[in-house]
Amino acid sequence: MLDRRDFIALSALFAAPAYAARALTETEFAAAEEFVELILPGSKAARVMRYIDLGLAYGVGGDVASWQRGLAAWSNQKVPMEQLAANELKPSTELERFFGLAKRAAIEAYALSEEGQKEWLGYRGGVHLESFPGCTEEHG
Amino acid sequence: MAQEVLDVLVVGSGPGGGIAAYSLCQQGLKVGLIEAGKRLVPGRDYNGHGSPHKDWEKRLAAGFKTPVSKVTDYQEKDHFTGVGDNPRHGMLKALGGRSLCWAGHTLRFGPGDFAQWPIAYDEVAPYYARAERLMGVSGFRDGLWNLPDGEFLPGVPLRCSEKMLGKGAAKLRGKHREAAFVSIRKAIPTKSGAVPRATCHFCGHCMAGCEVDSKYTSANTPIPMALRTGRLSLFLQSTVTRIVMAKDGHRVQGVEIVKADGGREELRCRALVLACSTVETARLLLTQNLANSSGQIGRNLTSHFGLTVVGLFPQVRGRDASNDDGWDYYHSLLTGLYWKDKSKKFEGTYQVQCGAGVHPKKLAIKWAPGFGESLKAQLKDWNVTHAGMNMQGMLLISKNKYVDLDPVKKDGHGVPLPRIHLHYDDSDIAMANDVIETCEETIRLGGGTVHSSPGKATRENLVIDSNHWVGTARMGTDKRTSVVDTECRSHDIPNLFLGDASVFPAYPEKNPTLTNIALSWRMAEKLAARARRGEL
Ligand SMILES: Cc1cc2nc3c(=O)[nH]c(=O)nc-3n(C[C@H](O)[C@H](O)[C@H](O)COP(=O)(O)OP(=O)(O)OC[C@H]3O[C@@H](n4cnc5c(N)ncnc54)[C@H](O)[C@@H]3O)c2cc1C
Ligand code: SF4
Repeated sequence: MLDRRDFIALSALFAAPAYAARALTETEFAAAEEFVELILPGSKAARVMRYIDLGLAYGVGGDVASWQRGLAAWSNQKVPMEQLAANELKPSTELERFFGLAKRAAIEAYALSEEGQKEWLGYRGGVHLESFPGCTEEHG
Repeated sequence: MAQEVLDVLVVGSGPGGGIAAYSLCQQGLKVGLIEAGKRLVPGRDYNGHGSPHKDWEKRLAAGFKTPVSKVTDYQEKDHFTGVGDNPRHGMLKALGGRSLCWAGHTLRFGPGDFAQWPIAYDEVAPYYARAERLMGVSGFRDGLWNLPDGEFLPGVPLRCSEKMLGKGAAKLRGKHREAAFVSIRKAIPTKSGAVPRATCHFCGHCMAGCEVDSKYTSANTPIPMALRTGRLSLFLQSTVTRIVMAKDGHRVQGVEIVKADGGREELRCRALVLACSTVETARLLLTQNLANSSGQIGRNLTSHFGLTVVGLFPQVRGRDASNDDGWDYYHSLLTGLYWKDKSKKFEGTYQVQCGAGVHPKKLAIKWAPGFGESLKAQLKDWNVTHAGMNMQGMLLISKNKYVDLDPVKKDGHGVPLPRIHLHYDDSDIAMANDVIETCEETIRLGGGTVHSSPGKATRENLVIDSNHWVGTARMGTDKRTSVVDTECRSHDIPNLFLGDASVFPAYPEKNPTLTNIALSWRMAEKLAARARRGEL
């Protein structure tokens, strides 16, 4: 019988391998993970920054320079999230613009992550159904 | 050895060309089907099914290159020039053409729509019926005069927010507006054994390509049927660059093709069917100014155009949203508007394709204010309770919309690129403003609130449907004002026929492909009858 410690050790063996950032540097990647986690809690566990970084590396998710400028602004200023969010419709600073950029990318990536789909959206689709039930409830 | 002269060469294997090839073979003719693209195998060359998460991982692992997961990844780029209000033009070079990535919406045009055609609804209705049986069309019988019912397999029900829109539409009717809210009809079998294809399993990826080949494509139905007759020769990865005329200059003798290895060859035929799609057929004819004594080739161009309004229905909050996949986003249609009571502000009418549900791969609502847990909760709630309304309006046919040839840019074979001119007319803008009002009203009458709306239509915020172009070689009885006769035969060149939607002389709000197939089937029968009478 496996005891709890064996189980944890085995799980670690099969856990997803550590990701080495490709578009951002390791320091930028770590800062971005922290920033994105504040915007969308759960992002870190869902490895959202890995999706974003890979996208950036393949040139499909925006440009690396904007992320680097934004992260530099964030490490210099550490403005409260409430303030960034308050100005998100009319961003005027580098950091406010970065808030919008990181938020858009994070939402997209989180929705595609396993955790985002299952735990956030409660999605159980992508399966073969015999028939599609449609709406089976009555609403006023 | 003398080169074989085939009875008919068909250029283009999309819905138009595929059905023509099948019908001609079935009637005993020897046919060559020429297709610029290659054969794409569902499940091998595109594989969008399964968990969106795993699919995304596959794309990441492959660096967004191969293996691709969506058939739309194969669509052409830089293959036309656009002038004006942001025209776009979809093209997929593959056996089956864009039927590989179409959504499958299959609507008959109604008797009212044919009022502007030189042929009546009753003339086309038998071909609609045959096409529906072959394609396996699922839908409900709604009894609407101008959206006639067909031969349907069981329909697919609506999602919760769409039902709320339906309630709104019923109240619109109560306010004496002509309106109907119906389930969409699709060329996708919902009942096993009805057609020799897999039954749909409701994964919602139709436009990414159906991996199990349940959705009708011309590659999975008419072309294999034509091959089974033993009378079809397929020329894949062969692009027609020139139509070869006989010495007398009045009849087609064949076509020149460029093969995958760059080699050129001439194929001979007794009759030629062009089914390259509306824009490409016009392009091919314009490059040699053939069949154009009317000067109408490229003119009368039209498509559908639109914008999107999104509503929220708090009543459906808490519903089971665990699997909204269905058969892609749009399950319903707001229709019946201005069929009889014409608008005084604009010409024509529109339909509104409606969808709902949570789709992780393509979240309908991707932004909410703020951050943190409240942002997550808000986004989820909005996606669960939303309904999207997408306008599909009749684009006014006018001198402001046409196709000609780019005077400078050419493709890799030296053929000029098509140039699409699109300038919205005031009537188009007025129609779009009416759509905004109608959609917002429908949402409110259904008990919802408007989440997002353009508010006002402008030339900048309208979006052209890049895949619904029709009308560059219109049908008519007067050779001075039309390109083909009522049998889709060129007025000028007696052995040249058109098998795509370029022949539409007028265009209602409904999706084009079923009518394209019905007309092409009819054209092929008339052509074969001529062959039997020795007229080719
Ligand atoms: C994402 C998407 C969703 C759609 N949904 C719907 C829908 O729900 N309902 C609906 O009615 N319609 C829909 N459509 C539109 C529908 O796909 C088209 O109306 C239809 O495919 C047009 O058929 P066609 O045979 O004229 O052209 P195509 O399907 O474009 O086929 C033309 C073929 O000709 C070939 N060709 C072109 N030029 C040459 C040449 N010179 N030599 C050799 N071959 C050539 C091309 O490679 C192509 O394979 C959709 C399209 C897309 C892309
Ligand atoms: S919903 Fe049905 S038709 Fe569409 S891709 Fe899935 S199985 Fe194919």
